Amino acid sequence: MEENTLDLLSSLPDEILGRIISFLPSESALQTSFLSTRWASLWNTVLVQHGTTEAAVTAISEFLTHFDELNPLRQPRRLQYHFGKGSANILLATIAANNKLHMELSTGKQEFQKQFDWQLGLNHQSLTDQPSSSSFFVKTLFLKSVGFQSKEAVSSIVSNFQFLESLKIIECNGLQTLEIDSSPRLKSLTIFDCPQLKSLFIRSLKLRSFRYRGLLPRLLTENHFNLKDAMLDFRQGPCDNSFGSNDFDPSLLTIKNAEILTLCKWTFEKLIWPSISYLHGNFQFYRLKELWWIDNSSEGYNSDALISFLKLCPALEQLFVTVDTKSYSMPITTTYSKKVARHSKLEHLKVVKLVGFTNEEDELLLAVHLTKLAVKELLIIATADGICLRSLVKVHLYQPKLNQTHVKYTHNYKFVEENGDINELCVNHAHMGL
Amino acid sequence: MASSSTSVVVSNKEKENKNTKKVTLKSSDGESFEVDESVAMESQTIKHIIEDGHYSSLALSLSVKTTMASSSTSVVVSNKEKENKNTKKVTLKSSDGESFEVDESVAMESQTIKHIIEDGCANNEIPLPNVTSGILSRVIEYCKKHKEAAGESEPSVTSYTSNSTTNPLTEWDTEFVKVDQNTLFDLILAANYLDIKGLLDLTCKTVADMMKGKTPQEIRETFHIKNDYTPEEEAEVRKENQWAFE
Repeated sequence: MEENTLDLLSSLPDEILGRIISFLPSESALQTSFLSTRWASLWNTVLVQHGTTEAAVTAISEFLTHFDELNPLRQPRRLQYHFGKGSANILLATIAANNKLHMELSTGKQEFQKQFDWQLGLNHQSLTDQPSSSSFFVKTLFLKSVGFQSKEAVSSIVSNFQFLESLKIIECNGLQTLEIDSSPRLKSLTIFDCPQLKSLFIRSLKLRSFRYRGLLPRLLTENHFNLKDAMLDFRQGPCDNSFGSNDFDPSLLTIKNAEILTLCKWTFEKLIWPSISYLHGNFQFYRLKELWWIDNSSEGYNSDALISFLKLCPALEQLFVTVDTKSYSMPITTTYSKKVARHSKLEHLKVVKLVGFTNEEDELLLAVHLTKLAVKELLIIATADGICLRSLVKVHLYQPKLNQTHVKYTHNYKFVEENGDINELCVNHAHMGL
Repeated sequence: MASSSTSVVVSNKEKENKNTKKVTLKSSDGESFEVDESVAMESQTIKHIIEDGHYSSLALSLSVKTTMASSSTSVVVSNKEKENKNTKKVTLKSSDGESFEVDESVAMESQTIKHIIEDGCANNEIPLPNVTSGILSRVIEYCKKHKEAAGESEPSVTSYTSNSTTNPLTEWDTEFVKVDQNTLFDLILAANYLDIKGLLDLTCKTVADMMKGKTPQEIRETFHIKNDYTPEEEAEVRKENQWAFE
């Protein structure tokens, strides 16, 4: 057999590569775009259309209907729709496997984004005359950079997606208040990086996952729901300093049964602890298994808040602590009860990862404290730059005491650099890297 | 001989059959024989009756006794068989000048060749400048095998229950594509040029199977694809598409 080192595959014509790709499972088909720029160009054909704001709904509908999930290269997976005054608004819609749709808005000119309020209704029947005959039912929707000029068009388009299960809204500059009226189908809501958002009103019956990153807005919910997955990355602080724990109580009830949680230290200190401190540890996060705690360290690291919280989490298995020196910190003097709560030991804790500690001593102190709280043998990993992983090991020291006849072994700990298989140790919280 | 030919031809027709018209011939003593219209029209008498439309869809009464009718049937049938032996052949010429004589029906597995023949342009040889002799001989092998399999008598019971993995044709196909990459890609290009859907799907699926379950780096190594992304570009592309994999 002769040695073949030529890339014959890439030189096949586009239609044939398309046919080959149609035999790949749809989730991994898009990965072929990473092979080389020639392969990426297969996936990047864009259908360009111009039209009115009103016609945007139909344009998207047709675009979705024509897409062939089983043969993803047959039709373009991207639509660039120009609309509005002077066709300045551009909607770029991209389809991906598993009923995902990504819509990104942009305006030609770098205009100042006017502040706006947005009411997004997801439980209406089709508002247009066209029956929703789209064979591609959008289940997951990403909306990026929606602005005051594009919100009406986007609202009309989105109200047709009756099967929507997951909605992600990112980087909407100017968005001031957001009201989401959703159907019981919507299970997951994510809002990231909308810097002007002051108020969020959710009308939802069965939300199971809520992820938020940005300043804490005024949160209003019409119904109660039990979140399984909650990411409350309010590390930049509250929108309004007058927020108190009373305002946060309804939200607290939604996260009480969460299994996966991201929480900032200041949120716990200012908004949660005051409501529950009188309960003396009887308010428990019974189901919490995976916790990401975002801390700040002003002068010296103080682990009181973290330890108090951990005492409320009897089922915890994995703990991730990130020290973000830029995160909001409050000069609060909260005292935490030293009383031993009902569940003061963490029986299920197995893994701890410490990220971003600037002071090694603080890091070590916390690590040792955690090993004392845990029942099982803990794996503790630390990293400051994200690359160099160190893990905690016990160092047995033989310390003869002068006045005693029996010798005492003192267990000391230190962090040792890991050179072995890093992949095994590279655990991350589910919300990290989003 | 006659009776065995009857069974062969009839069951072939049965396969195609969901669409061919049938007529029922009824002998004078009441026995009915259902045959394909085309077979029945070997008889000029019956042919005229059918063409004139003077019959019900069910029966043609013939003043012929049963035994006579059945022997006519078998004669008719074996006549058709004889005709088959005189099938037309075409000659295909590869890019390197080698000629291959094949049955026309086999050659027509290729839509490209089929159109050339139907357009009446296939007088002497059909030149195929894009296909070398080595590849052409394999392609012909594929077409022959698949034509045979389509024509073979298989009792209808097993054809519904046969699992594609134990189907002997699938096994043959699997062996057929166990070739080096050069040959595989040449087969793809030939199947594309000659427009043979089955072969194109088979070879493309084979390549897809070689890609399944591999990381992009592993796929590059298998097919010697050069990664022409800069690290920044690669990170950018991954970031842009991250949502699609979440």
